[in-house]
Amino acid sequence: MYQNKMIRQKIMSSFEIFTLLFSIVAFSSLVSIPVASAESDFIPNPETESALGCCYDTEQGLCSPVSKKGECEAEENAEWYADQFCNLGGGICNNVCCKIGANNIWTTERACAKQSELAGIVSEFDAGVASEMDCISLSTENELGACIIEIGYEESCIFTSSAECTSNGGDFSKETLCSNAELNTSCVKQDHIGCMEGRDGIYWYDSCGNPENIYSSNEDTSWNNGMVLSPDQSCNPTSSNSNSDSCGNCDYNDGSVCSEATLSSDKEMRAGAFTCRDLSCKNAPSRVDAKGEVLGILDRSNGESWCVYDGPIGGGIAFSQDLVGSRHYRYVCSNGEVKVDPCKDYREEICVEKTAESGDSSASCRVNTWEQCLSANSGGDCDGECLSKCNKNPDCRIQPVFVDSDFKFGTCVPKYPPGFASGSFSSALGGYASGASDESSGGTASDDVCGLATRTCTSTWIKKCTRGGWVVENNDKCHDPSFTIQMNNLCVSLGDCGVYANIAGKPILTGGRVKKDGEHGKTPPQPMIMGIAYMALSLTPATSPALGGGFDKASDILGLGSGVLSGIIDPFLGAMMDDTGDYGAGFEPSGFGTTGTALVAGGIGTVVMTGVTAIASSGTLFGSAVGVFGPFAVNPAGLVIVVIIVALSYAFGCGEVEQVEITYTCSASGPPVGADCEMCNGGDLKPCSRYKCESLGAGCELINENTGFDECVKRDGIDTTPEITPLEEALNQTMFQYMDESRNGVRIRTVDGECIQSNMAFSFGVQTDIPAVCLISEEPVAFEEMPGAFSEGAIFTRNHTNIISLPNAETLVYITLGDGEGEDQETYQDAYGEVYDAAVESVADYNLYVKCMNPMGDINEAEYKIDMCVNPGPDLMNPVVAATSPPENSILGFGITSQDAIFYINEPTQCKWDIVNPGLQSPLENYNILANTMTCDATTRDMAKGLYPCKTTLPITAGTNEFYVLCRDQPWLRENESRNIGATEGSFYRYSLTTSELGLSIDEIIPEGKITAGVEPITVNISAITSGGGYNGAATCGYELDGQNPEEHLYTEFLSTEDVSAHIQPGLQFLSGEHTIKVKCYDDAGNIAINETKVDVELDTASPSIVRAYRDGGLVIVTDEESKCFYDLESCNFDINSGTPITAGLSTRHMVEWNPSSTYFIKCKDKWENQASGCSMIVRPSQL
Amino acid sequence: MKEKKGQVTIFIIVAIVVVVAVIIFFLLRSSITESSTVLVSSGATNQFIAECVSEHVGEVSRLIIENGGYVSKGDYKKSFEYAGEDIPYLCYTEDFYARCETQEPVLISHLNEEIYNFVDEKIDECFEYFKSDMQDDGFTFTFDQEKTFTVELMPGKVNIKINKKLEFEKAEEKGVFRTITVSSPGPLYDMALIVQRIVKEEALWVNSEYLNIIRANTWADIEKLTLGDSNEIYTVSDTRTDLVWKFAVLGGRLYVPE
Repeated sequence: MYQNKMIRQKIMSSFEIFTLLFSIVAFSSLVSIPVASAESDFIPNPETESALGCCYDTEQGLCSPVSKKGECEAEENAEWYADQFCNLGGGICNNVCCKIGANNIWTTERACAKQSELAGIVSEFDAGVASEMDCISLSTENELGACIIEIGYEESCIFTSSAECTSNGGDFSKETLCSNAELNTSCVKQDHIGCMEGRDGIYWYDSCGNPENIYSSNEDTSWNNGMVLSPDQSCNPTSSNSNSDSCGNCDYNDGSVCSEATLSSDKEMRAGAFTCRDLSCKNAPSRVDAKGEVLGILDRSNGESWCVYDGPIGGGIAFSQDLVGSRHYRYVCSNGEVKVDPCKDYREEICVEKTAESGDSSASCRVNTWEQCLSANSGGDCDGECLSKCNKNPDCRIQPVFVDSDFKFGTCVPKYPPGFASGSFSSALGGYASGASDESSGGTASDDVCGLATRTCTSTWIKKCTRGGWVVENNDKCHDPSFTIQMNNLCVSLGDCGVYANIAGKPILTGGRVKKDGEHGKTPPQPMIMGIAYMALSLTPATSPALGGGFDKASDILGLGSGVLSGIIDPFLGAMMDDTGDYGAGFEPSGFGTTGTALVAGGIGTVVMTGVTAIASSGTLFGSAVGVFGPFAVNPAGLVIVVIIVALSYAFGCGEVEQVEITYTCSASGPPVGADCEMCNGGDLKPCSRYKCESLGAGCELINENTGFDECVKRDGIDTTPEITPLEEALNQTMFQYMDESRNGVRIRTVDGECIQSNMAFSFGVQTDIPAVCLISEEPVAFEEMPGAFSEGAIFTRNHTNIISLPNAETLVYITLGDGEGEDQETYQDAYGEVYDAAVESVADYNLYVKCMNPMGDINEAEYKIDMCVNPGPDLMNPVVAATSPPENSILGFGITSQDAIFYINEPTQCKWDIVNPGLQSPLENYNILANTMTCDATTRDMAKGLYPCKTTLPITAGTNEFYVLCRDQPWLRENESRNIGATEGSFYRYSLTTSELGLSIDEIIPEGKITAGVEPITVNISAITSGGGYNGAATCGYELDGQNPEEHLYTEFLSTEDVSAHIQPGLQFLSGEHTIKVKCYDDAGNIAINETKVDVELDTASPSIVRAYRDGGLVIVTDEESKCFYDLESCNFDINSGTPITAGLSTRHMVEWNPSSTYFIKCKDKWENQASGCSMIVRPSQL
Repeated sequence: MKEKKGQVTIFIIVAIVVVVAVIIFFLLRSSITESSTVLVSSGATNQFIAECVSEHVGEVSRLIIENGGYVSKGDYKKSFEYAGEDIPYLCYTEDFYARCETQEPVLISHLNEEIYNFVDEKIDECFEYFKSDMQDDGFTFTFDQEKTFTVELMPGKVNIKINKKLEFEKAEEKGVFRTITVSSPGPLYDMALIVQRIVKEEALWVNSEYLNIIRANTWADIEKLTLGDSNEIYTVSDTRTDLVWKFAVLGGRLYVPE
């Protein structure tokens, strides 16, 4: 009796496994996974109107990067250049320190000249000043003084610069005040005080309105006998003087600036209502909780910026800690006011901070390159190139899992896990889906990200008679809590995945699940027990801000590839392309049969999912599976097949081996149940957003978004218990029907009212009247004990779908026992009577039970029963080869001699192959004569997607190789002739493989050798041309710049491929010096090629010289390099662009009319716009 | 008798001086009127036109600032509604993993055009008002040439240079109008430079370090609001005039998994 029960349990277990298997299949097939395409992107034609580049305003001297050619050239005074970064020749877009009058501005040379022209003042610029702040600071050193100008018959004095005075024809007295007695002006000293534009301090003004020196109550010292005093020489030069009423030496850098005293806190100067306004931020919030309540304060200087978080961030001791719903914020102290500058939500941006020597913080929001972490993973364990990439990227970290000696691996995970948008949830609730997500974006689904942590640990058990029972041989710790803890830590480190907590400290229990398949050992605890521990995290402050450079200024953009940002690839080079950029950081030839990897498009990189039980699927591998799974194999090209099979060995006797699989399933966390929505409405310090609101509870929604009245409120109509009904559109109603529908359940039968044919996949579903999470089980158990989920996973939605395939009784017995035999149906039944009976019973009345939970956590009490049954008739269907690896008609690598192959069959079979077609009449004769037998195991752990693999090694010769395959089903029937034979349409499956005629080669890498430029950095497009290999040069290529370690190459995939063999990477920025470009390519046949080139970027900053001038039909001048020359007949003091051109284009020989009475003031510039500061030459023909 | 002769001589000399002075005065006045650039305050005609045009230039400058770089909200290439207000994108891409595209790559020229188109008819209206007033005063117009004009944005002001020949007379009085340069004070140019710089930094670096800009332009205040959907709204304020220029930026987005 007990044995019968055990057998029934085994049967039920097998049935459950089978159905779960198909649930997973359904899930996989419904997730559309775009695969990165390197062949669809092209560099935009620079001739098209929409090409992006740099627009140069020739009038104003201003540069606009990332500008459309058509829009730029439509303007009269604009020139367009095909360089989006505006690294233009002559550095015309580079800023210099421009001195105009008393003030300095940081702008281009041309803009400096324009400003000078507009102001009517001669300007000068200093290209040696490194930064804008230095430039502004230097303005106090500009030489000012009294300028005596005659207006009519009167002399006036203006306090100005020498240049401005000269421009106005005045007489300049350097560093002299207009009130200086020696000038004998009518201006009376120290008439009043006031602010001076462009200066920080409070200044005395004379009676003529001219500024004098900085105000000090010591008037004599301040007047300085009518001579100029610099701020450094004035009163209290090292103080901000914000509390002073006697010294107006305000200093912006020290936190004060001249202002009219209008605030009660302002300290007024004795000589007038002006103050050194304190610009610092006292008691500025440094720690603020998610509700917006200030938990810590600090005094901050003006211009200081710092990071504020919602809780712990980054990699902690055990996992990446950013909480669900959390955001990074940059706070800024600007002119005495704290401003909140939130980084992009969903942790698209992180706040990075550094501290200057002064102690002031400087923070910025920069892109979170989390996808590049996931892209780095290319195999089961992150080592080698992955490890190197991971360690170099400041946004990534290695998450180790070391549960037992045979279950240990490292994964490159984001240090700041991304947030997920709840698009499905939102759309289910009324179409509020975020615009941030888009199927065409080439992005990654949250389940693909979380799925990286879905892993199975297999423990092996042996029956020891001497010790009286089953003994574990390996991975025994996978049965311990440490398995759950470590796997959940990996899971939560990937994004909003797993069992974790939100910003309110509320646990989210639905994102992780542990399942044990097998009889032996304990089941590890479910991860939900860890929810309590994570709750406390919301109270934990961030220990230190995020690091890793700003990525918001030129030096950091150039820093990509070196220093702290060495591991980050510029994620926005996609702008260089017509299409959105799916380009890869994950650069790894995979070859055939690399089970364990599945490509998922990741926008900036290819996310490589790896799992012990994850099976590779790309290209056409499962193309033929469409026939089996019909409409559910929605994306055969990119289909991920995740299969879990647990085989229970039915063992008798000693020495038997059984394996137990413990699987951690990682999925998106989603919001917790409930509706603590008010927490989002905390105020300006922590503004509410859709992500934050929805993370606070499944019952929360953001209303009035972007209206200024955004508010997070509890949803209407979510308090009722979900009512469950069949989902009509999920069922193929040409074949099946729902019957006997009631509030408590429904039957699924064929359209004829019969039971369902075995081994046939079909979909079904339920719908709920309100958004709900639904679970499924074969037994009527509590909601939280239900093992199965619908395809939609743990999200609140109205539609819940699943795919299932029901085995017949024989198949169920066979895969349950892992073996079995019988002469025919009857003897098989006799041999395994009780097991068989149990199997027949299971398939004759198969029920599934559904329970659903609303966003508030309410669950329907009564189970909803879905009644199904399997048609008990004999199996009359021929087996079918549904997929192969390598795919049929594949091209193999050059020179290979053998190839491992896997044939996936739609039911348990035995298969054979040969290189010749026997051509006999009888299928059985044909089958028997085939010389080579495959290894087929219906219980093998490599079985994928309900398909049964048969493996073999095929001999390969140069050229095309053909193989003939036949399979025979129902292996338990031994030689019974009722077994069906076939492989495709009841006949041979002809399988063809062809070797590459040539090896793959990289013929050319461009650029090569010397590149001369007039400015650094220069924008360089690199390209590589491939040929040969299995696909006429079609290959995937990556490049590496200046690789330091010859053993450790970090290739980055080229952004686009044109005509399949031209691999192009635009937009790289090179500094001067020698660079090595190494290129590695591989093709789908498995051929690999490596090549490299050297580039020497040389800067040409020398202006062209005139080496000769003579008469030859005119005045001929010769320059030492190709240049354009211009002349003026008056002086050298002319703008070269407004001079008279001597030659239209670039040339070394230039000719102008011979006129002995003229003097030619000649200026020349080369193609980089280099020109001498004065004339290149002054030519007087009369003297030649 | 000699004394009388002397007096007559003196009268004649004084008369000559007066006549010469009058002639010189009219000659000088004529040369001032016909100079290439006439100051706004140099005559009633110029004063009238200058004030009229300046008012319109001030109006259009304010409109442009308040509408984020456009005279009319209907001219926005792309815009975004926030808090009931339509805000133009000056840098925009809807693509993921892409830098935003500059919407007005030659911003100053664009503003010039906006002003030009707006004031074109307004200048005509100013002349019509002027002519109407003069006609009411009994003047007749003997020559009325089609106007041409240019717009130039400058630090702290907008200059409009109008070329038009207009002659009118009444009895012995005769007036001539030639050229005038009207200056309308305002921060349009200075604010536009700041806006263009923010857009440039956003397009290049997917971020703008606006604190540096505030430091370099102490009269300006800048605020940045990053919304949950990645839209960024910049508010550039002139603290001297309280004029506010708002614009939006969308770019540098990463794909958010669902």
